[in-house]
Amino acid sequence: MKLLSLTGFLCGMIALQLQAQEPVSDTLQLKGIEVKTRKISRAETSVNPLQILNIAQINTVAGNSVAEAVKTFSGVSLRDYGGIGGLKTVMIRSLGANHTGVFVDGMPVSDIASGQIDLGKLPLDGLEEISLSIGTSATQPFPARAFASAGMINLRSIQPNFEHQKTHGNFRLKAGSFGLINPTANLSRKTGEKSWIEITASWLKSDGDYPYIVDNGSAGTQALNRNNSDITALSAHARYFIHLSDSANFHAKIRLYNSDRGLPGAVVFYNPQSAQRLTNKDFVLNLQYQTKNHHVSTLGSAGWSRAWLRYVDPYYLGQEKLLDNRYLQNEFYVSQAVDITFGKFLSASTAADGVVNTFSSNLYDNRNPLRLSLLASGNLRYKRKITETSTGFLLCLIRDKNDSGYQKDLAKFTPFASFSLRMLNEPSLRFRLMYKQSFRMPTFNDLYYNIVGNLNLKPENVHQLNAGLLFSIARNNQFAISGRADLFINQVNNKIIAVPTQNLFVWSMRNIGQVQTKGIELQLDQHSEISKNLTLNLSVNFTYQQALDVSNESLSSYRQQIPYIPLETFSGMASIRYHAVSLNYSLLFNGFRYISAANTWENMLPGWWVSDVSLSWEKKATKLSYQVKAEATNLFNEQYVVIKSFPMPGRSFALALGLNF
Amino acid sequence: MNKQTPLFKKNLFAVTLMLSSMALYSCTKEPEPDVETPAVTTTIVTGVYVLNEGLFNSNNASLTRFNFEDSTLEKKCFYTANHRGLGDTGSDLAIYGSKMYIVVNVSSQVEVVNTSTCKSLKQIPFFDGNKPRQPRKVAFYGTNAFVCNFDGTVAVIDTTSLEITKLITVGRNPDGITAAYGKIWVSNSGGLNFPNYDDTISVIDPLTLTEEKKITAGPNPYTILPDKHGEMYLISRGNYDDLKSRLQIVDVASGTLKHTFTDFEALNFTIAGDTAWVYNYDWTSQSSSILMLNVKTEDIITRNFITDGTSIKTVYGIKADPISKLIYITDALDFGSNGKVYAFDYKGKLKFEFSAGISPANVAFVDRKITAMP
Repeated sequence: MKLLSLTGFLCGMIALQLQAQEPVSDTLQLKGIEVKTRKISRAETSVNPLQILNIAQINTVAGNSVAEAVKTFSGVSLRDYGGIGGLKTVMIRSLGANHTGVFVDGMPVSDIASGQIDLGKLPLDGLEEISLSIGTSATQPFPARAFASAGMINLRSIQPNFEHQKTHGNFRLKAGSFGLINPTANLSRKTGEKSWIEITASWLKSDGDYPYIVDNGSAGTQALNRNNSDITALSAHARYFIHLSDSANFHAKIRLYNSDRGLPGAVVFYNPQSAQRLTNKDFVLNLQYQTKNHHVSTLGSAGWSRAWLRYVDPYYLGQEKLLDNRYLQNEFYVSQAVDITFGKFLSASTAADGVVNTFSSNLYDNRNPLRLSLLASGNLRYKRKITETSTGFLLCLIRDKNDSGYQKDLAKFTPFASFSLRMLNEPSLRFRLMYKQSFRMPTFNDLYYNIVGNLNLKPENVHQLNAGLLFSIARNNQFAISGRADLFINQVNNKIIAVPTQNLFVWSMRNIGQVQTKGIELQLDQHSEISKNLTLNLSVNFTYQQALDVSNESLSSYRQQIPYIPLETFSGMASIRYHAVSLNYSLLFNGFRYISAANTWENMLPGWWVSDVSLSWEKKATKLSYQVKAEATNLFNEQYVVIKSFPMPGRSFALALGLNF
Repeated sequence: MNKQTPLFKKNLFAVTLMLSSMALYSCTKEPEPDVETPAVTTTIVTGVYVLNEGLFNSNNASLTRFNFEDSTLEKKCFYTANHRGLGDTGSDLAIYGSKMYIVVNVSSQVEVVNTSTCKSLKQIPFFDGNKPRQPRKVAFYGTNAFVCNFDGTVAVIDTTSLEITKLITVGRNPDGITAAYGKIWVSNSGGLNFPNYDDTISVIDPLTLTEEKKITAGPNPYTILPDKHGEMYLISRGNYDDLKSRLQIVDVASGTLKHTFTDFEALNFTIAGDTAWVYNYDWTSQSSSILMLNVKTEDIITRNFITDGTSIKTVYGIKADPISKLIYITDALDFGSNGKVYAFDYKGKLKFEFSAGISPANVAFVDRKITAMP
């Protein structure tokens, strides 16, 4: 009994301590935290809805990109155009992909042209944590930008551990169906007492010529192979880290991504060929300087990202008989954040960011648009034994201009607040409440893209309200179960929608949409250690959301479910580890959804269940360790689409061999 | 049935002629035979087909048929008859003889079907190697169908063999075609080269199957139709910016642009007799308007054709049925859900309406000739 209460006390203490660890800041806290007893996931105590995949869970994901991991989170609707090369973006709680911020090691990834980050471009390899949070509450210095999005995906790279050796490395080779070859190499080395360097490179090639069924009635249905779905991609990064003093450190990172891929296009009846090509050349440089002493911590960051994109359509029937568009965007970014603790209960943080975005293209209407953004955030927290209250704001000053003399200034103030109450200690029961305003700027495509763009666009505004209960029970180290139930309401105003103007060839962007979302998210995680050599993990997520178009009462779309948001999504992951072998099974369900706000049977896409399974074996020797992993995605060969007319791959296999030293 | 009626009529005429000449040349006046009054043949419209464009990349172009005789509405008659879909983006529909031609733009096919059964007679692929030609519109002359393709060609289809016999090079992205005054008129839009649009009309000789000349009209020309007074009316869609979408007149004899109506915007139109019905959709106010124009005097008859208060949300197509004296106006509503078709009399009063598929744009009339004995 004494032991139990002690454990409970410890858990509570750790919970308190870990509450301080938030997604972005955590990626910046490079020392890591050593926890000897059961590690309570931050997700179990977070004031904001937060979901986390740790390294063990990431390893069980079948697939190659971050998109494959993120789609298992609750509240996420994946937009996937199929195959490895297909564009993959996510909508969180029915909000457009533009409302999701993506951070890698504490630095933002951005795309000023489309506003959407293709998660297919971010490899799963080398990550030790993927998290998804709704809203942000700072407990450590954050860039102001971290408060800008409605939802945030955080990726954290594996930190090298030089406890025993000065040099580490790993090599992994993965090969699979449809011509997949994916070698990855990583090398890290201690360069001094307090510094290290790391280099990772991953090359991926896939033919992507998977079979699919053209579903066109009894007379038109046929089996074909996807064409023009190949991809060749190289992603690489290099990092340098140095402790300048006990309280200060510096971190530099360079990231490269080069790819050439076919865009397989919609499966058009009687015309299934596609020839469009997409080439990406991305370069990112990030610098971070962090200090920390008793009451004050600071974070300074600077970054430059350059993204070059070429889109070629040889089937285009314009005058030149070929469409060849090239786009170049640059982002320059600086940020300084400070967090100060006043006494025992009160703390405050503030941050100021400056961002310059430029864009140019070889399109006729290229007017070299430029965006200057100044962001300032402030956040006040008051934390007592059982309650935590936090409130803050983000102030954005944005100037858009271009070569033709266009200039538009915008100032936006968005507040947020959250509250949590610890109702019980063991089992732990908490209540959380959050409100957040956010917005997304019209992207450069929205504003400027030839005749489609519209300079009069206003930002799209989002109000989010969330109330949830969190509970967890732990019995020693052997058994733990935790669950979260959240109710949420979102309201989107001035939603930016493309509407046809004069005919279906000419669309234009308008601020005409309003969406009201009500939903519930349920998450349950279970961990049991049956014996030293046998552990079982189980997690299930369920989301029900009603996202209604409330733009215009006189339209038939009024109070209809918005396109591509299923009412129900479910994901489940189970893994059993026995000695060095682990077996993982994951199940993903997306309910039916509609392709347009006219919720008719014709516009309905059926729901789908997809199962992935993987089996891995790991052998640890003194200095070396080996890993073999076999995976089958879409085990039951379900024929399905996520986006109308873009068939997804059926069953596929992959085998990966890894060597670590 | 349709074909037999005129033959029968011809025979009857010949017999009558023979009989009467025999009567004239006989010497003795014989008793006169009973003079047969010729049968009266009238054409009635028995039904209407509506081609629903569907959503781009959604493979949901469809064909709606409304039969007047039994008031039945068939929602997907092509699918029902052929157990497969039409494909992606239906862009034109026309009946010639006993056959109906359905142009499916993104699928790059022309479906030729039996007008009465809707069964496919032939699906004609329009490809240059693997590259889709993207057929847009169809017109007929003699034994040929002429299909303009977005790749800058006009395909000649033999209406009996249903083979493409020739490709005639015209201007860029032709988006309107019609047969009139013994020629084929093709409007070259250049629509895929914003803002550098084409502005020409190709005139094709349907006998030599060659482009005779190009007439310069306004930028981005679209629908082109004849009046009966030596003129072609056409829409020039402008540049979607400072140059608005206008109705224009080309003088056939001189082959020159004669007039541009600058006091109203026009997206599309139809002509019956001496009247043109011209519609516009002003998307800033999101309102549809239909005006009537006298093509003989070139005067506006009324700017508000609809007189009974019927509201069209997103006007998307217009076609006059001169036999029943009805104007069909299609309404795409919000483009995502099933649209509507309204039939008005010439006074602008709604006679009936029915629902169609997604983005209904083109209408064709099924007619039948009725021979009545006096």
